[in-house]
Amino acid sequence: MNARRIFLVGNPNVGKTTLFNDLTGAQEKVANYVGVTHATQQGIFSDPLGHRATVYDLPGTYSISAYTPEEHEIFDLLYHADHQARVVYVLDARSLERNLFLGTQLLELGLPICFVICFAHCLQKQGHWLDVKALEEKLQVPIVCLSARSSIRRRQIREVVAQDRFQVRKDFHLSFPHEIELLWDQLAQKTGLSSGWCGLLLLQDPAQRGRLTGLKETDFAQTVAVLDQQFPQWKTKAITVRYEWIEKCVQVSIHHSLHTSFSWNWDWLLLHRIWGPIVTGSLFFIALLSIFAISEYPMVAGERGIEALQTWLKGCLPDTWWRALLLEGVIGGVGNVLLFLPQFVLTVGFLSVLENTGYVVRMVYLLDGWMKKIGLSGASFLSLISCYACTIPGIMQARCLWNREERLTTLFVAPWVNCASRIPIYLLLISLLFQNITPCQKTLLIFAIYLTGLMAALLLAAFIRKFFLKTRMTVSISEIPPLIWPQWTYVLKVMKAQMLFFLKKAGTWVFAFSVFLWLCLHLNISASNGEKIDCVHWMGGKLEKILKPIGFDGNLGVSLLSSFGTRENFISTLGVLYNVDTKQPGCLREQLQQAVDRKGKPVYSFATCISLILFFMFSLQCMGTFISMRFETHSWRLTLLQFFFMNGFSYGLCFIVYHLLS
Amino acid sequence: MLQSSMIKCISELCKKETACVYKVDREDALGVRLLELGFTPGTKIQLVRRAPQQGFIEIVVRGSRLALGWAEAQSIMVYS
Repeated sequence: MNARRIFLVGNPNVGKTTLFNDLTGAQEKVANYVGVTHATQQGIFSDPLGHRATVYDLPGTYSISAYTPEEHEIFDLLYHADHQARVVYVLDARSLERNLFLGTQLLELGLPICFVICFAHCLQKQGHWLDVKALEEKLQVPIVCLSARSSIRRRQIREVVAQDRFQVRKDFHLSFPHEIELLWDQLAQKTGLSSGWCGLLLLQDPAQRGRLTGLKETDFAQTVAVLDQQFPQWKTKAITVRYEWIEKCVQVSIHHSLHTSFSWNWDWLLLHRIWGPIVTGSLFFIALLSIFAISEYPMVAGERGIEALQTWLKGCLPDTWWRALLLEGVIGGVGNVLLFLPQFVLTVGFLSVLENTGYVVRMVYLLDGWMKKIGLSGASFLSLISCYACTIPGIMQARCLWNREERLTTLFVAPWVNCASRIPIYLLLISLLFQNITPCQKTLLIFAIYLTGLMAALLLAAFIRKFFLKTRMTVSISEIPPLIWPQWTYVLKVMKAQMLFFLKKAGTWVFAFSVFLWLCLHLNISASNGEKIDCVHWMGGKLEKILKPIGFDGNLGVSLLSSFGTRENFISTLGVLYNVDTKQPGCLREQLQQAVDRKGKPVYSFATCISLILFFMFSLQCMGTFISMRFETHSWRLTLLQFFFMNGFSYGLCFIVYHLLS
Repeated sequence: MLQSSMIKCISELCKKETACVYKVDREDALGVRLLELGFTPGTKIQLVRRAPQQGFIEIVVRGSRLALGWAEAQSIMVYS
């Protein structure tokens, strides 16, 4: 491949991924906080004129001297960049000075580059004005100032790539102290690198330097020793020189002040030590309440619809095996899962709004101090919050944690934060526990489940940090981006994508499994006592022996086992099982309420329901989470430990609670 | 020459107080990172607010708003 490779580089939260989406037509996640992109994304740019390029969306970084694992990735890509590489350096006009720091480093590396400035319109609102021409003259590389209008912005950034508007700044030179430069040049001769790279590498953490470059550490160590001896403050000097140059650039092109912008006025409330948590709590409660209240209508309508559809089909189709499969297997299984689509989509939408506006960062800010007390940081709280939508992106988010022990602890406890796909199960169980429950009470219960899960996760984290993964406190530096209004088109896009994801899952996995289950239900085998029994109930019987002490019967056992694939399978499996058993159309909620065991007692008693809720809160039975854990920790030991610990813990807890209640 | 009594840690500043960076008192990679974020000697900074429980300290430096953890803020010395 000799296609051009475009690297989107920039500080965190400057909008690289938005541009990546503009260039490639991808729909990667964008949000208003630092560290949304954890791993380099690749996409293809192509236009009608036949220009093609591979675009790389890199995680945000403040400097080339890599510090976090993501920054190592960026370093690696830039270090091995060939003549086909182009850099789009994305800057935030609101903090131009700091953004230019990485800019000067990139200029020194001598790669073809184009500076792209975002949020210039926000700067104007603050009463400043950016003179692009003056800045261009100073930097001597092409600068494009992006428009706030997404259609114009899209055209602008595509033009940059299509017209190949990149330039190498050859003679870029900052006047570092002569003696320091001399040493860099000597090192450059020894290693065969450019002087610019040497200067950057010397500031690098020695532990990482050799691994990143593949060069011998001895040469660097010698130079560092000489520098330390002759110029004790050389690191400060090397960085100050850069900023001195930047200050001159900024002086000619922009005026700075400590003025407050519109969003800061809100922050006295949102970041207040007492009002902040109250506002956050109420916001969550009201949002969840409205989600459940709104989705109650389509859900009840859906239940009635399923019942009507089943009755109608029963009337008009001949009594054959495929009618039974359609009614019991497909509608009973997939139909019952689809009922929960509105809740799922609305919850995901709400979380997306929180991220999009920059509200999540404010929660992190408020909680960081408390989190430090248990050995985590605000950043790990952010990744735990992301788990509310789905555990897997939450686990990925933990990549931005710099401290290994903190990161492992966060990964370990993450499954205890209740993900959105568990909501349908809780809703079903709550409606079994309390009939005629109002949406408000339902929200309170879900809220309590959410809080308990989170608190348990934090307690476990505190325990792990205290006794097992003990290290010094974690580093936290974050940015507080201004609050913005949610970009509704983006939120709707996310909701649509999640809806399609849900439908796809229901249409493929859940569908296939429901049909498979139905077939198994009609596949008879001989049990040990000579009776004919179908394999599902045979397996249920085996599982019942293990699960009886915590109050689950065979049907629940099979459903739990099936939910290991996707959680939605739990409901679809119950749907198929009860539809086959009763042979009557009806909604799952009612079927479960009426279910009785061999002795005539209701299966879904109070104790069983509570035990089931607890089981779902504390067990790890999601294949996706299990696999991502292995992938993220690179350790089977830890992954299996988590698996057995969580399932063992939930079994034990359910055992105690079930016996206390029954 | 600055008197040592005038130099204090950034976390000792009051809300809305402005000061200048004296130095970053750390030699490791984090020290380098703080410098790279703009806390070079002589830079004017302002403390905006603090989060509860020795949490984040919000600082305006070189026109951008940064939130530093308590421990990180300890290593930045300032004078007013």
